[in-house]
Amino acid sequence: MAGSGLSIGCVVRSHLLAADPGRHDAHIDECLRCQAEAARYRTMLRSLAALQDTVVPAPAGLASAVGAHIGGLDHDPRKAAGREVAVAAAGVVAVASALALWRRTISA
Amino acid sequence: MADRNPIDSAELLDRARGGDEGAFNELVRSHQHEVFSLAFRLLGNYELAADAAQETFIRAWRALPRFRGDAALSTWLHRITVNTSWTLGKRARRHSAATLDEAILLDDASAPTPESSAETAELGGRLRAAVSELPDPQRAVVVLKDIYGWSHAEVAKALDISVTAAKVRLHRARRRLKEKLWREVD
Repeated sequence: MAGSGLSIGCVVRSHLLAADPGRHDAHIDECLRCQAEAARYRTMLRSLAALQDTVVPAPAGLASAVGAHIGGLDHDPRKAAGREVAVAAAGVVAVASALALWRRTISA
Repeated sequence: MADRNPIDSAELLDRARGGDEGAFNELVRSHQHEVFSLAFRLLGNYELAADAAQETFIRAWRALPRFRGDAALSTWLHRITVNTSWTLGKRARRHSAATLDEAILLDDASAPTPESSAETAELGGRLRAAVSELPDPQRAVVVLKDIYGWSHAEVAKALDISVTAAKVRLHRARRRLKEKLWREVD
Protein backbone atom coordinates (compact mmCIF):
# COMPACT_ATOMS: atom_id res chain seq x y z
CA MET A 1 0.00 0.00 0.00
CA ALA A 2 1.14 3.50 -0.77
CA GLY A 3 0.77 6.26 1.83
CA SER A 4 -2.38 7.59 0.15
CA GLY A 5 -4.23 4.33 0.63
CA LEU A 6 -4.02 3.44 -3.04
CA SER A 7 -2.33 0.27 -4.19
CA ILE A 8 1.01 0.89 -5.86
CA GLY A 9 -0.49 -0.23 -9.14
CA CYS A 10 -3.23 2.39 -8.91
CA VAL A 11 -0.79 5.16 -7.98
CA VAL A 12 1.40 4.37 -10.98
CA ARG A 13 -1.59 4.10 -13.27
CA SER A 14 -3.09 7.36 -11.99
CA HIS A 15 0.16 9.17 -12.81
CA LEU A 16 0.26 7.60 -16.27
CA LEU A 17 -3.38 8.42 -16.86
CA ALA A 18 -3.22 11.94 -15.49
CA ALA A 19 -2.50 13.37 -18.93
CA ASP A 20 -5.56 11.69 -20.35
CA PRO A 21 -8.63 12.74 -18.32
CA GLY A 22 -10.94 10.49 -20.29
CA ARG A 23 -8.95 7.34 -19.53
CA HIS A 24 -8.35 8.56 -15.98
CA ASP A 25 -12.09 8.85 -15.37
CA ALA A 26 -12.63 5.48 -16.99
CA HIS A 27 -10.10 3.94 -14.60
CA ILE A 28 -11.81 5.47 -11.57
CA ASP A 29 -15.16 4.20 -12.81
CA GLU A 30 -13.90 0.66 -12.69
CA CYS A 31 -11.55 0.83 -9.67
CA LEU A 32 -13.26 0.54 -6.28
CA ARG A 33 -10.10 1.51 -4.44
CA CYS A 34 -9.77 4.75 -6.40
CA GLN A 35 -13.48 5.51 -5.93
CA ALA A 36 -13.04 5.17 -2.18
CA GLU A 37 -9.98 7.38 -2.32
CA ALA A 38 -11.83 10.06 -4.31
CA ALA A 39 -14.75 9.93 -1.88
CA ARG A 40 -12.42 10.42 1.08
CA TYR A 41 -10.75 13.33 -0.68
CA ARG A 42 -14.10 15.03 -1.31
CA THR A 43 -15.10 14.45 2.32
CA MET A 44 -11.87 16.02 3.49
CA LEU A 45 -12.39 19.12 1.33
CA ARG A 46 -15.99 19.47 2.53
CA SER A 47 -14.89 19.14 6.14
CA LEU A 48 -12.17 21.75 5.64
CA ALA A 49 -14.68 24.20 4.14
CA ALA A 50 -17.03 23.55 7.07
CA LEU A 51 -14.33 24.62 9.53
CA GLN A 52 -14.93 28.25 8.53
CA ASP A 53 -18.29 28.11 10.28
CA THR A 54 -16.67 27.05 13.54
CA VAL A 55 -15.64 30.15 15.41
CA VAL A 56 -12.75 30.15 17.82
CA PRO A 57 -13.83 32.65 20.48
CA ALA A 58 -11.53 35.61 20.94
CA PRO A 59 -10.00 36.00 24.38
CA ALA A 60 -12.05 38.06 26.80
CA GLY A 61 -10.76 41.59 26.90
CA LEU A 62 -9.51 41.74 23.32
CA ALA A 63 -11.93 44.51 22.34
CA SER A 64 -11.16 46.61 25.42
CA ALA A 65 -7.41 46.13 24.90
CA VAL A 66 -7.78 47.41 21.34
CA GLY A 67 -9.85 50.34 22.60
CA ALA A 68 -7.17 51.24 25.11
CA HIS A 69 -4.49 51.16 22.41
CA ILE A 70 -6.16 53.23 19.74
CA GLY A 71 -6.81 56.15 22.09
CA GLY A 72 -3.49 57.84 21.46
CA LEU A 73 -3.01 56.72 17.87
CA ASP A 74 -3.13 58.97 14.85
CA HIS A 75 -6.17 58.31 12.71
CA ASP A 76 -6.66 61.40 10.56
CA PRO A 77 -5.01 60.88 7.15
CA ARG A 78 -4.66 64.65 6.69
CA LYS A 79 -2.49 64.81 9.82
CA ALA A 80 -0.41 61.91 8.56
CA ALA A 81 -0.05 63.54 5.14
CA GLY A 82 0.92 66.85 6.79
CA ARG A 83 3.55 65.07 8.84
CA GLU A 84 4.99 63.43 5.71
CA VAL A 85 5.20 66.82 3.96
CA ALA A 86 6.93 68.32 7.00
CA VAL A 87 9.48 65.49 7.07
CA ALA A 88 10.12 65.86 3.33
CA ALA A 89 10.53 69.63 3.65
CA ALA A 90 12.97 69.20 6.52
CA GLY A 91 14.97 66.77 4.36
CA VAL A 92 15.13 69.25 1.47
CA VAL A 93 16.30 72.04 3.80
CA ALA A 94 18.96 69.77 5.29
CA VAL A 95 20.30 68.78 1.85
CA ALA A 96 20.29 72.42 0.66
CA SER A 97 22.18 73.50 3.79
CA ALA A 98 24.73 70.76 3.33
CA LEU A 99 25.26 71.77 -0.32
CA ALA A 100 25.67 75.44 0.60
CA LEU A 101 28.19 74.54 3.29
CA TRP A 102 30.09 72.31 0.88
CA ARG A 103 30.23 75.09 -1.79
CA ARG A 104 31.46 77.60 0.76
CA THR A 105 34.15 75.15 1.87
CA ILE A 106 35.24 74.53 -1.75
CA SER A 107 35.37 78.25 -2.65
CA ALA A 108 37.31 79.04 0.51
CA MET B 1 -18.09 36.00 5.50
CA ALA B 2 -20.68 38.76 5.21
CA ASP B 3 -21.28 41.41 7.82
CA ARG B 4 -24.29 40.46 9.93
CA ASN B 5 -26.13 43.77 9.63
CA PRO B 6 -24.94 45.73 6.58
CA ILE B 7 -26.86 48.92 7.42
CA ASP B 8 -25.57 49.18 10.98
CA SER B 9 -22.09 48.17 9.82
CA ALA B 10 -22.06 50.85 7.12
CA GLU B 11 -23.11 53.52 9.58
CA LEU B 12 -20.57 52.39 12.17
CA LEU B 13 -17.92 52.25 9.47
CA ASP B 14 -18.63 55.83 8.37
CA ARG B 15 -18.44 57.06 11.96
CA ALA B 16 -15.28 55.07 12.65
CA ARG B 17 -13.69 56.38 9.46
CA GLY B 18 -14.39 59.87 10.75
CA GLY B 19 -12.49 59.12 13.95
CA ASP B 20 -15.29 57.92 16.24
CA GLU B 21 -13.50 55.51 18.59
CA GLY B 22 -16.77 54.26 20.07
CA ALA B 23 -18.01 53.22 16.62
CA PHE B 24 -14.72 51.48 15.90
CA ASN B 25 -14.94 49.63 19.21
CA GLU B 26 -18.37 48.38 18.15
CA LEU B 27 -16.86 47.10 14.91
CA VAL B 28 -14.08 45.41 16.86
CA ARG B 29 -16.63 43.69 19.08
CA SER B 30 -18.61 42.40 16.11
CA HIS B 31 -15.57 41.18 14.14
CA GLN B 32 -13.23 40.04 16.93
CA HIS B 33 -14.17 36.36 16.83
CA GLU B 34 -13.79 35.96 13.06
CA VAL B 35 -10.48 37.85 13.08
CA PHE B 36 -9.22 35.81 16.01
CA SER B 37 -10.39 32.54 14.42
CA LEU B 38 -8.44 33.28 11.23
CA ALA B 39 -5.33 34.34 13.15
CA PHE B 40 -5.50 31.23 15.31
CA ARG B 41 -5.90 28.93 12.32
CA LEU B 42 -2.95 30.56 10.58
CA LEU B 43 -0.68 30.61 13.61
CA GLY B 44 -1.78 27.53 15.56
CA ASN B 45 -0.95 29.35 18.80
CA TYR B 46 -3.56 30.91 21.07
CA GLU B 47 -1.48 33.69 22.60
CA LEU B 48 0.19 34.62 19.35
CA ALA B 49 -3.21 34.71 17.67
CA ALA B 50 -4.46 37.07 20.40
CA ASP B 51 -1.50 39.38 19.71
CA ALA B 52 -2.15 39.16 15.97
CA ALA B 53 -5.85 39.95 16.38
CA GLN B 54 -5.07 42.98 18.55
CA GLU B 55 -2.42 44.20 16.11
CA THR B 56 -4.83 43.65 13.22
CA PHE B 57 -7.40 46.00 14.72
CA ILE B 58 -4.76 48.60 15.57
CA ARG B 59 -3.52 48.51 11.96
CA ALA B 60 -7.10 48.67 10.74
CA TRP B 61 -7.76 51.78 12.86
CA ARG B 62 -4.70 53.48 11.40
CA ALA B 63 -5.60 52.50 7.84
CA LEU B 64 -9.35 53.06 8.14
CA PRO B 65 -9.35 56.56 6.57
CA ARG B 66 -7.87 54.97 3.44
CA PHE B 67 -10.44 52.14 3.34
CA ARG B 68 -12.63 52.95 0.34
CA GLY B 69 -15.11 50.16 0.82
CA ASP B 70 -14.30 48.37 -2.45
CA ALA B 71 -14.37 45.10 -0.52
CA ALA B 72 -16.50 44.13 2.48
CA LEU B 73 -15.10 45.21 5.81
CA SER B 74 -14.63 41.58 6.87
CA THR B 75 -12.68 40.82 3.67
CA TRP B 76 -10.46 43.83 4.30
CA LEU B 77 -9.94 42.78 7.92
CA HIS B 78 -9.09 39.25 6.78
CA ARG B 79 -6.33 40.59 4.53
CA ILE B 80 -4.86 42.62 7.38
CA THR B 81 -5.15 39.58 9.66
CA VAL B 82 -3.21 37.42 7.19
CA ASN B 83 -0.44 40.01 6.81
CA THR B 84 -0.21 40.59 10.55
CA SER B 85 -0.28 36.89 11.42
CA TRP B 86 2.34 36.16 8.80
CA THR B 87 4.63 38.85 10.22
CA LEU B 88 4.15 37.76 13.83
CA GLY B 89 4.45 34.09 12.87
CA LYS B 90 7.74 34.68 11.13
CA ARG B 91 8.98 36.44 14.24
CA ALA B 92 7.90 33.74 16.64
CA ARG B 93 8.23 30.66 14.39
CA ARG B 94 7.43 28.18 17.05
CA HIS B 95 4.44 26.18 18.11
CA SER B 96 2.96 25.55 21.52
CA ALA B 97 1.08 22.27 21.74
CA ALA B 98 -0.32 23.12 25.15
CA THR B 99 -1.95 26.37 24.08
CA LEU B 100 -3.22 24.75 20.91
CA ASP B 101 -4.93 21.96 22.83
CA GLU B 102 -6.50 24.53 25.12
CA ALA B 103 -7.87 26.48 22.17
CA ILE B 104 -9.18 23.38 20.42
CA LEU B 105 -11.15 22.57 23.57
CA LEU B 106 -12.56 26.10 23.56
CA ASP B 107 -13.36 25.70 19.88
CA ASP B 108 -15.31 22.52 20.51
CA ALA B 109 -17.15 24.02 23.46
CA SER B 110 -18.24 27.08 21.51
CA ALA B 111 -19.31 25.25 18.37
CA PRO B 112 -23.02 25.19 17.62
CA THR B 113 -24.86 21.96 18.30
CA PRO B 114 -23.62 19.62 15.58
CA GLU B 115 -26.34 18.91 13.09
CA SER B 116 -24.04 16.59 11.23
CA SER B 117 -23.31 13.01 12.17
CA ALA B 118 -20.96 12.09 14.99
CA GLU B 119 -18.62 10.64 12.40
CA THR B 120 -18.39 13.98 10.56
CA ALA B 121 -17.84 15.85 13.82
CA GLU B 122 -15.12 13.40 14.74
CA LEU B 123 -13.47 13.89 11.35
CA GLY B 124 -13.66 17.65 11.87
CA GLY B 125 -11.81 17.33 15.17
CA ARG B 126 -9.08 15.18 13.67
CA LEU B 127 -8.86 17.50 10.69
CA ARG B 128 -8.38 20.56 12.92
CA ALA B 129 -5.58 18.77 14.73
CA ALA B 130 -4.01 17.65 11.44
CA VAL B 131 -4.16 21.18 10.00
CA SER B 132 -2.52 22.59 13.12
CA GLU B 133 0.37 20.14 12.68
CA LEU B 134 1.15 21.24 9.13
CA PRO B 135 4.28 23.34 8.60
CA ASP B 136 3.43 27.07 8.68
CA PRO B 137 3.66 27.72 4.91
CA GLN B 138 1.45 24.70 4.07
CA ARG B 139 -1.04 25.48 6.84
CA ALA B 140 -1.42 29.04 5.53
CA VAL B 141 -2.46 27.92 2.03
CA VAL B 142 -4.86 25.27 3.34
CA VAL B 143 -6.49 27.74 5.73
CA LEU B 144 -6.88 30.46 3.11
CA LYS B 145 -7.82 28.27 0.13
CA ASP B 146 -9.69 25.30 1.56
CA ILE B 147 -11.21 26.79 4.71
CA TYR B 148 -11.78 30.42 3.69
CA GLY B 149 -12.24 29.82 -0.03
CA TRP B 150 -9.71 32.33 -1.34
CA SER B 151 -8.55 31.98 -4.94
CA HIS B 152 -5.03 30.77 -5.75
CA ALA B 153 -4.18 34.32 -6.89
CA GLU B 154 -5.40 35.85 -3.62
CA VAL B 155 -3.46 33.31 -1.57
CA ALA B 156 -0.31 33.91 -3.62
CA LYS B 157 -0.61 37.68 -3.24
CA ALA B 158 -1.26 37.54 0.51
CA LEU B 159 1.69 35.22 1.14
CA ASP B 160 3.94 36.97 -1.38
CA ILE B 161 4.58 33.84 -3.42
CA SER B 162 3.85 32.84 -7.01
CA VAL B 163 0.55 31.23 -7.97
CA THR B 164 2.48 28.10 -8.94
CA ALA B 165 4.14 27.98 -5.52
CA ALA B 166 0.75 28.38 -3.86
CA LYS B 167 -0.64 25.47 -5.88
CA VAL B 168 2.34 23.26 -5.11
CA ARG B 169 2.10 24.01 -1.40
CA LEU B 170 -1.62 23.30 -1.43
CA HIS B 171 -1.11 19.98 -3.23
CA ARG B 172 1.55 18.91 -0.72
CA ALA B 173 -0.51 20.05 2.23
CA ARG B 174 -3.62 18.20 1.07
CA ARG B 175 -1.62 15.05 0.45
CA ARG B 176 -0.14 15.33 3.92
CA LEU B 177 -3.55 15.84 5.51
CA LYS B 178 -5.02 12.95 3.57
CA GLU B 179 -2.20 10.63 4.56
CA LYS B 180 -2.50 11.62 8.19
CA LEU B 181 -6.27 11.15 8.33
CA TRP B 182 -6.34 7.89 6.40
CA ARG B 183 -3.43 6.41 8.31
CA GLU B 184 -5.30 7.05 11.55
CA VAL B 185 -8.48 5.54 10.16
CA ASP B 186 -6.94 2.48 8.48
